[in-house]
Amino acid sequence: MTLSDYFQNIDKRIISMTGEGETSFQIKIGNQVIEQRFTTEEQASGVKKYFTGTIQDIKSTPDAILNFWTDDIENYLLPGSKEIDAIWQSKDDTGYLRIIPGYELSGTDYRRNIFYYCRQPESNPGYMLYGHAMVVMLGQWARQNGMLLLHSACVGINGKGVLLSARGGGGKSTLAVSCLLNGFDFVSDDYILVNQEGPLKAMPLYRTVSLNQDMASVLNPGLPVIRIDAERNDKLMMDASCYEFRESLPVHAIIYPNLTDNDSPAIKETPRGPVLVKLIDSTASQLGYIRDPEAYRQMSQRLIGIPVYEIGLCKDPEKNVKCLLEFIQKEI
Amino acid sequence: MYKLNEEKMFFDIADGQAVVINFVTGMYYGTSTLGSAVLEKLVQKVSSDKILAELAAADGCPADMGARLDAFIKALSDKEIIVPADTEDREISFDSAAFADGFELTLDEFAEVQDLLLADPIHDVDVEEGWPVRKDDEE
Repeated sequence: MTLSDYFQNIDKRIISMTGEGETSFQIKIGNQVIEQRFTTEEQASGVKKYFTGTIQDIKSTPDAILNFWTDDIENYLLPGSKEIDAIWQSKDDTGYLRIIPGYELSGTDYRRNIFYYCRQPESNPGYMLYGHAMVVMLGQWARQNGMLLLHSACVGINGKGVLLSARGGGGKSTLAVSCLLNGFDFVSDDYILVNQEGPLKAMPLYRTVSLNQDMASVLNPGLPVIRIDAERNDKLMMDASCYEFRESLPVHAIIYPNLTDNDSPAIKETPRGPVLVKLIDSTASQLGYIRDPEAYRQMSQRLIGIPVYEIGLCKDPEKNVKCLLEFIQKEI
Repeated sequence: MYKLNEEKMFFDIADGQAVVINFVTGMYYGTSTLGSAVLEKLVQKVSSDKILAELAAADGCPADMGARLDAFIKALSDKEIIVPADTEDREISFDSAAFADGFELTLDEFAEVQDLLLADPIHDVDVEEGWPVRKDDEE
């Protein structure tokens, strides 16, 4: 029995569990059509709103399928082995499977480009509804399809892009959204796709941006609010699809935003190690790659040759944006 | 005495916790709280003698601290996280937060994906039984 066989068994179980209504939708990322399937309309509509601007109105044959559902993980364990409280994994030429008893199942059918994520019903329903599982699965899809998903913003000027990379609270989203509002080339304020081979290019995942309440009142972006995230200090997730997003932006540098008490912003070269650790470790944490050396190696090798800078941010967003604009125009 | 092996390692310390990534292999390393503080000093090329003198001056320092430090440095060297270098003479001190978890000096190598393959739910299964039934369970 191969993993692909196993996943076809799972397909039957998912179909038998799928309810009425609109339980799936298709998005287009690059030239790939991805169908996201859920077993409830509530979960599908909860995730669909994040993809405003990328939804395919007319469904076509998908290049990849992401399946999300909730079920008792015990149904997927081996009889007689249910007392084992550990991570189970399986891998062959046809796929990869990982089961954490009582918590989640995730897997990939390589042959059919189908991805699976099952969550124990009582464990954090928000994980499924608010897109966390979706990001994890898109990370798997990206790795399987010649890309990597990174936890980073990307903006640019005149076709020259930079990654803005910091852990949460570092001013990354505020700087990125300020750039969007000031006419920069814009890819994303939090997650980007990059190609695994060739000159580094960043691509958007969706058309939403996030700001904390304080910075939203300062920047006043005037964008429709999709959701207020109670788990992240009521951060506002907003629909930015009225702005033009760059479908692909060459990346020339990585810039680490650092909040300072200075009156003026400044950009300087900085050692790459700490910045890349933050970017890679933050991505691994968000995408569930923790302790997966191959994921760490892939990300490291992709980013290692890119020049790294630090921007010391001041409290004035306009000054920060001007500083970044001049830097990209003159120094990159 | 030592420096970070920049040919292979990324290093960062945030909120007192060191993170090391071997960008050639993808291996990921963490350390105890005091280990993070000691590693930070080592990659600044502070001599191990000076580090030991500072540790020994701390309240409650165990008598075998020298052996613990030697073992920690050996572990870091074995994993090629640090390599020999000229010492830089600089004043150092340890913040009290460095001792929050005691005097343990440990290096952890994380490779869960390789290490926790405890059971294979697919390839130990008898196809004839349909939905996964492990061959062992039938016997």
